[in-house]
Amino acid sequence: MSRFCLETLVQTHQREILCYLRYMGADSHVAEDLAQETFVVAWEHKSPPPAEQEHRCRGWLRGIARNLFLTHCRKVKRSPVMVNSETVNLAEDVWAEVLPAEEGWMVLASRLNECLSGLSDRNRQLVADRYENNRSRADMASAHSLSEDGVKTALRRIRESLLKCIQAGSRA
Amino acid sequence: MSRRDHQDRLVDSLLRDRHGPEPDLLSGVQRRIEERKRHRRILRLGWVGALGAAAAVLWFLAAGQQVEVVERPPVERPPQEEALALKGIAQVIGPLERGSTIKTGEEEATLNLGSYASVRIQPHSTVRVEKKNGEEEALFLRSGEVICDVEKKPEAGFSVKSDAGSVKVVGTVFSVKVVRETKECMMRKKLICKVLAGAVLMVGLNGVTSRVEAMDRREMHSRWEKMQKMFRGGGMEDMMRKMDPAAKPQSGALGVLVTEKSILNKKIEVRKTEIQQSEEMAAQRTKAIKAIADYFTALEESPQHKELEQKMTLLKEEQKAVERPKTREGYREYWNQMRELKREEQELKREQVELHMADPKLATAYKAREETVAAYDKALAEAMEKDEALKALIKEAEVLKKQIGLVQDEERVAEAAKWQAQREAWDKRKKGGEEKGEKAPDLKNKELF
Repeated sequence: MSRFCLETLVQTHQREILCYLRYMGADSHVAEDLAQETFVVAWEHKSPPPAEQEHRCRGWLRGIARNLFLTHCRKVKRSPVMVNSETVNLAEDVWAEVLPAEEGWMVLASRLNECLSGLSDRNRQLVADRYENNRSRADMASAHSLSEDGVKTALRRIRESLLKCIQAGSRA
Repeated sequence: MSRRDHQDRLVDSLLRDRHGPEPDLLSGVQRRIEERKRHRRILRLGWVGALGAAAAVLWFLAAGQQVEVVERPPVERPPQEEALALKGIAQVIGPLERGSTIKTGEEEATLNLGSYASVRIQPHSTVRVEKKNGEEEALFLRSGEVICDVEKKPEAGFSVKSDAGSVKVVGTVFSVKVVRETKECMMRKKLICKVLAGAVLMVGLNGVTSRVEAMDRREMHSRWEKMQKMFRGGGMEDMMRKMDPAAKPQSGALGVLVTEKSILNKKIEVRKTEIQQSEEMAAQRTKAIKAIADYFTALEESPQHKELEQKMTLLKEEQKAVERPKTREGYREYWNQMRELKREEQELKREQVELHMADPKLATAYKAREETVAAYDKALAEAMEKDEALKALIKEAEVLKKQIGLVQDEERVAEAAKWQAQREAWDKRKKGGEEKGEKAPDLKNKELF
């Protein structure tokens, strides 16, 4: 694989692979480490899928990342993530359901943006506090006059509504 | 974890990704790849070291057996600043460059080194052009004689090295000769240096130096060494021939025939040139040259062709700019890039051909060129076929070739008969029990035919 091809591959797929690894249960440092390793393994591969076939590339890279993550969990004996083949298969099913193979990562990102703009102001503020400002649940509870469990439940409901919105968009 | 948990976590990671900083994995990936490459290089060096040690042992064993190893130049070579020029007939092992070995036959050859040293390699001599050491040019004289004419150049030196010592010089004319001396089962090499003008510095194997002035002659010797078994017996002449593969029989049927053949080949070439430049062919040749010139004029006048040529030049420059990797790891990337560029080149060539077909002016000029050149080639071939003198020379060369083959066969038969007779005599003695402990001649390892 040429340097140019590698750069293109990394820039096109790095967000998705990082997100996928986080979704599998890796913390941000492990996710970054494993994502880098994924591209190194891809670079070493003798017959990578052609770059034009993006969906094949994505599946192939996800496969590498998944195997690396499983190996990592086996190595780390006290891993907080319980991983077995059943869990991995289920996780892969859910990923494929939300992000169909024929749709690119950018489609999903734009759909998420659309869905976020459809949220109420309060819910949008909750999302911004949690994910953008990294505020703790206690802070958010006092700011929004809710209990900590209330914040947790509210965020869970927001995520459910976002998922429905994304799935509705992909079906449409 | 339930399906619902997975879905929740997926949206959570999507939101984190959306609000998080833009990731930059590329630098990390590249760093890791470099580390891998370095690691592999170290591993491979380990192998190379082991192989090198094995090669050194083999070389040591080979040196012990006096096996002559013909040195082949390495595949990848640094660019040479100054080209070497060789005039005359000589056998060059590999392409003519620093590191190659030159063997002369019946005639002398002249080698120009670094534009300031002219070396006349005498007949039956073997010389290796040494790799350039700084500004100094050097030759290694294996056998035979060289006459060197070196211009004075303060910053550059010149030396002739040999097994028996070396001769260093800055601006002079001198000859260096290496001969082998034998005594019972021992042999040594003798270096004879004759200075015709200026002065040289002779350096012996023990490091002792001596100055040789103009019109002076000095000799140096290597140490006496035990000769190999294969060189013993069979007469001095035979032994000398075996010791020096470059030396061919000075007299005898084969030597005469080989010389005659080389003279005949030269005559054939001369006759071919004469036919080519004869008056009959002149008109045809002029016509062909004109057609070629017309074609190139038509090409130059075509703007599309010019455009394609510019593209091709740019592509060639791009190809040259692609750096050839020094290690194995980079080759994949390199070949991928080159494959792409070659594909583009093919595409451009295809466009050029299409242009030739599409432009009527170009197509006519091209057709005229092809026809006139073919007509000239045909006329030349016919003229050569009809020429009686050339025919006679070719016939003579064929007869000579057969004669050489016959003489070579005879020599081989004689050699085989000699070894057979030795073997029979040994068998006879062995049966009679006259001499015990004597070894039988080894016919298996002898190259009889």
